[in-house]
Amino acid sequence: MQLKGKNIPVSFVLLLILLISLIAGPLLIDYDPVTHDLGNSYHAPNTGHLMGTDKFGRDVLARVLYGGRISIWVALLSVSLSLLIGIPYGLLSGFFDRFDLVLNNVINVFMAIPQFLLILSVAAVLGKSSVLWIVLIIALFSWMDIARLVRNQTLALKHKDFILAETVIGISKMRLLFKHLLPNLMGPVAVSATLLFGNVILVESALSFVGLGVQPPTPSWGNIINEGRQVLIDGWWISVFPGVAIVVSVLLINLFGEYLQERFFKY
Amino acid sequence: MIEYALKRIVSGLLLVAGLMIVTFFLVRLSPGNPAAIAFDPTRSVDAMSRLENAWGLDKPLLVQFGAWISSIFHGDFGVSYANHRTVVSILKETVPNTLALTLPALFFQLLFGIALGVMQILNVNSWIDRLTSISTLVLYAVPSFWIGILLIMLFSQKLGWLPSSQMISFTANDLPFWSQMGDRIAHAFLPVSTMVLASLGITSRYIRNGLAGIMDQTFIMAARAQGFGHKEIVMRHALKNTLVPVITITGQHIPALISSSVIIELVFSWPGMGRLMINSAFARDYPVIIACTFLMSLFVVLGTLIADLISAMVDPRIQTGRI
Repeated sequence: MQLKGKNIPVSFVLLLILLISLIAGPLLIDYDPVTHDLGNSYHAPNTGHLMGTDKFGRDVLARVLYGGRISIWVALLSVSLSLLIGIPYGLLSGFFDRFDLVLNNVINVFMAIPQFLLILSVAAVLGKSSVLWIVLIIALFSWMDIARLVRNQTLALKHKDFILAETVIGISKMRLLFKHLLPNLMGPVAVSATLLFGNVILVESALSFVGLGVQPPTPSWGNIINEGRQVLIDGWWISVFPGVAIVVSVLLINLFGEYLQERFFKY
Repeated sequence: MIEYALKRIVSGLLLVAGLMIVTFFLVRLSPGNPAAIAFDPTRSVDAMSRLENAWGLDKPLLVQFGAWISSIFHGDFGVSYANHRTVVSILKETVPNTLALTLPALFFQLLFGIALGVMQILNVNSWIDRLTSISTLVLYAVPSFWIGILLIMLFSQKLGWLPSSQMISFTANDLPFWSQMGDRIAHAFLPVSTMVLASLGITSRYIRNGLAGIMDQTFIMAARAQGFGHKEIVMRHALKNTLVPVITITGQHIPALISSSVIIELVFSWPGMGRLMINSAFARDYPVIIACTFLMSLFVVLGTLIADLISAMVDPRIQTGRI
């Protein structure tokens, strides 16, 4: 697709459409995602309820749209927080040799523990947690990929002439790192953050599915799927549609990530 | 080789030491009191502090850490809060069940992943290649538990072909050996398929792209110049060279496999470590949670270590870091 002579990837356009429908969609639907309407429980998808209704008569489409807002928010906040931790960490580890041994091994340890397992056990120990806690826990165990990437890129760049030249001028270390090194890393970091975004959506949905993430009645894609588990035949739509929503969003995000990767790594 | 192996083993051991610290403190520093959960509200507050005392929760954290480390070297990982058995005796029942799920899953995932990747390169840039690429990209975006639910919906509830939970039927003990085996395979079929489907996307993409990279190299061009056909070049020359990347990706993939086994076990009520862990997590059974997390991480370290050692054996250049 072309806009003012620039190529816009289809995945990006579709992603925008998805975001807009998550933001605007609930405004167009009359149904409340939380209030019970017991007279209308387990309606199959029809013209009034495009995705049917659940046990409590709530419109599944409304729940999927609201749940999507929450899932996207959790992902957005967790990724931002991971970037806030991972970028300075990677810069310090890659640039200062004396920190690297310790900092890099901390990354190694964190990466050896299956991420989902850690998130799961900490979330469980915390008990029924608020959305903010979920964001914190996910970010706490997701920053390593970004830190590792920034570290390796910093290691590769720090002996380049332009960095040497700036050291010679006597520029401060912080300014050098954040104003001159960092901009050179933004491409790979953007790719990594995009892929992390998709991954966080999957992690959050799995966590909510298990019952340790977003707590009902607040909808999230994962906990709606879980609610449909008891009625897989008579209420198949409850588990199927939120799953489709996860697949579509993660797929679009990954496609966009792949596009970014091709753009930034193929010159 | 021995020097390289020793180096890798030592760094692996250091990693394990780090894991001990991280798993213990992350779980223990999170707020929440297991004694308060297990505590029966009809009894006095005094009983609760007795409970804390019995479990050692009233001691300083470092002392508790020391006690935990010594329990590892005693080989029992402490005693579960929930049923007063040693953690090791509980793990002995659950770990084999988890392996019965993950090892076949790993095998079939590699088998199908390699088959798909090779099929794509044999028909490179054809519609088969593109269609497979698109499908694997989609698979990559599908949450594993949702695949499990769709499979249960279709094969278990709608068609009634396969069981959807537990490892074995209640009546299976009376069956002759072979029907019992059949029963076990039927029970494992859906969870293993779920795990294979969930990770097939990443494996086959990795193998396809790895092979595609090899097909650009000069020795392939040389083989082509000698008049070998495309099929023969792929099967006899290129495929061998994907061995090292396949070993590496297998090692790297173990964390994801273990993570997915946790949630798959929950979906299929499979009595393995994952389900144990989630149940213990809800009950705040600290010794079991910490032991499970630690043990699963240990599998990851071991998996990576073995993968590294095998790659170094297959391709000695890795030992000197010249690759």
